Order: sequence, then C-alpha cells, then structure tokens
Amino acid sequence: MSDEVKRFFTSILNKVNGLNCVLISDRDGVPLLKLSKDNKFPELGTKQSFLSTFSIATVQSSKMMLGKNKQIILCYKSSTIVQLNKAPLIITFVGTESTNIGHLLTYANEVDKYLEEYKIVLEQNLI
Amino acid sequence: MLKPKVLTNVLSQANTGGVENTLLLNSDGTLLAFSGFHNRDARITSAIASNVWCAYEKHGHNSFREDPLNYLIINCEGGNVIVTQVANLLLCLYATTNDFGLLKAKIAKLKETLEQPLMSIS
Repeated sequence: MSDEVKRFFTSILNKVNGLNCVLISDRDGVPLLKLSKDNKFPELGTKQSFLSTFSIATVQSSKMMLGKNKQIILCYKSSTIVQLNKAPLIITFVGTESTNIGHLLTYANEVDKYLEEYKIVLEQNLI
Repeated sequence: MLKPKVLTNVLSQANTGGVENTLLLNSDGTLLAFSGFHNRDARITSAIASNVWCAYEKHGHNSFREDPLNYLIINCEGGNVIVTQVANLLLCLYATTNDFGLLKAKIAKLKETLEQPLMSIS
C-alpha cells in the first residue's frame, strides 16, 4: 500500500509543471511521507511549524459561511504552496511560482483513496 | 484624502460573476471599506482572512530567503476567498464561484488601481 501511495504521488510530481515536493503530515505537522523530485526540500512549506498552521487556518476558514474548508493555496514570490484538508491528514504540495495549480487540483479528488490506510492508523492512535 | 464614496465604487466594480463582497481591511482585521451584499458576513470574513493571512505571511518573512506572500486563496465547499496586500492594507474578495483564475485577475487589477492612492496615505 505504501509503495502504491509513493507511486501515485511520484506520478503527480512528474506530471505537474513546477511541482517540487509533496508532504503528507498529521494535523500537528508531523510528516508521515515526504517526496521530492531531487531529494531537496525547500525551507518554506516543509517545516513542522508551517504545516501545523494549516490546522488552525482550516478551522477558522470553515466559519466564513462558505462551508467546510477544502484547501488553501498560497502564492509566495518564489514559491507556490497548496495544502489540502484531508482530516486528520494534511497534504502539502510545494512548487515554484509557476506551478500549474489547476492541473495539480485535478488530482485532489483522487488522493482520498490512497490515504485510507494512513487515516485508519492515525485514528487508532488518537483514541 | 481618500473619498469614501469613490473607494466603495471602485470596490463594487469587482462584484460581478459570483463575487459577493469586496473588502478592504487592515492587518488586525478591522474593516475599512466594504462593497457587497452581506454586511454581517463581511466582518467575520475580514477577521478570519486577516488572521490566516498574517499566520502565513509570518512564515514567508521568517524563511531564509525572504519570500513575501502575494496571494492567499481559501477554497471552501461553497466558494472562495482571495486575499492580497495593497500598500499596508489587505484587499479581499469573497466569492461563491470556483474560478480561481478570474478571481486572481480581478484582485490583481483592483490592487493595481488602489496601490498608488493607498500608498500616499499609508
């Protein structure tokens, strides 16, 4: 299963222009899986403190009368970060400023079926 | 001096094609100008948008390579909120559509228009 997850996210890394790395973490920002094109992880977007910011942001964003928060997209000067809310998991994609966000988001719905195993393990540990 | 009526008129030009509210707020979430339909929602949106913006902007400034945040898009089941910085204020669009490209183009154009006059008073 883990190989299958790695294969799926590696294929996203290879298909989406400008995308550099993918992180799967829990809601506290502890990484469960880290994948990168060249084994280099940019400082911005991969630190635990950054990843955990999403947990607070998604709870607050769900109170804006637009329903549950699905994702947050951040366009920095030299990088683009997309964080998906797959509670209790957070999926973070980090790319260059020219990352094709539309292309990346087409894979957002496919992600769910690959995360079941992680979700079960996390939920068992939370009880 | 900024003319409040003119400022509201400029903001209202973005309220088409699913954009419900256009807000101008400062970094602590206080609403400075507003154009749209739901006044109550606007105060909540401005408070949350500024909070989320500040949380993520801090990470950009703290990184080794100073990397300022240009745009923040919050995508929810019922719509989107896009935020950007204009002078030392925040500009925010609250929309019920999922057209990220259109929202980004609208906010970029509005930012371009407001940057100069807001810079002169900041």
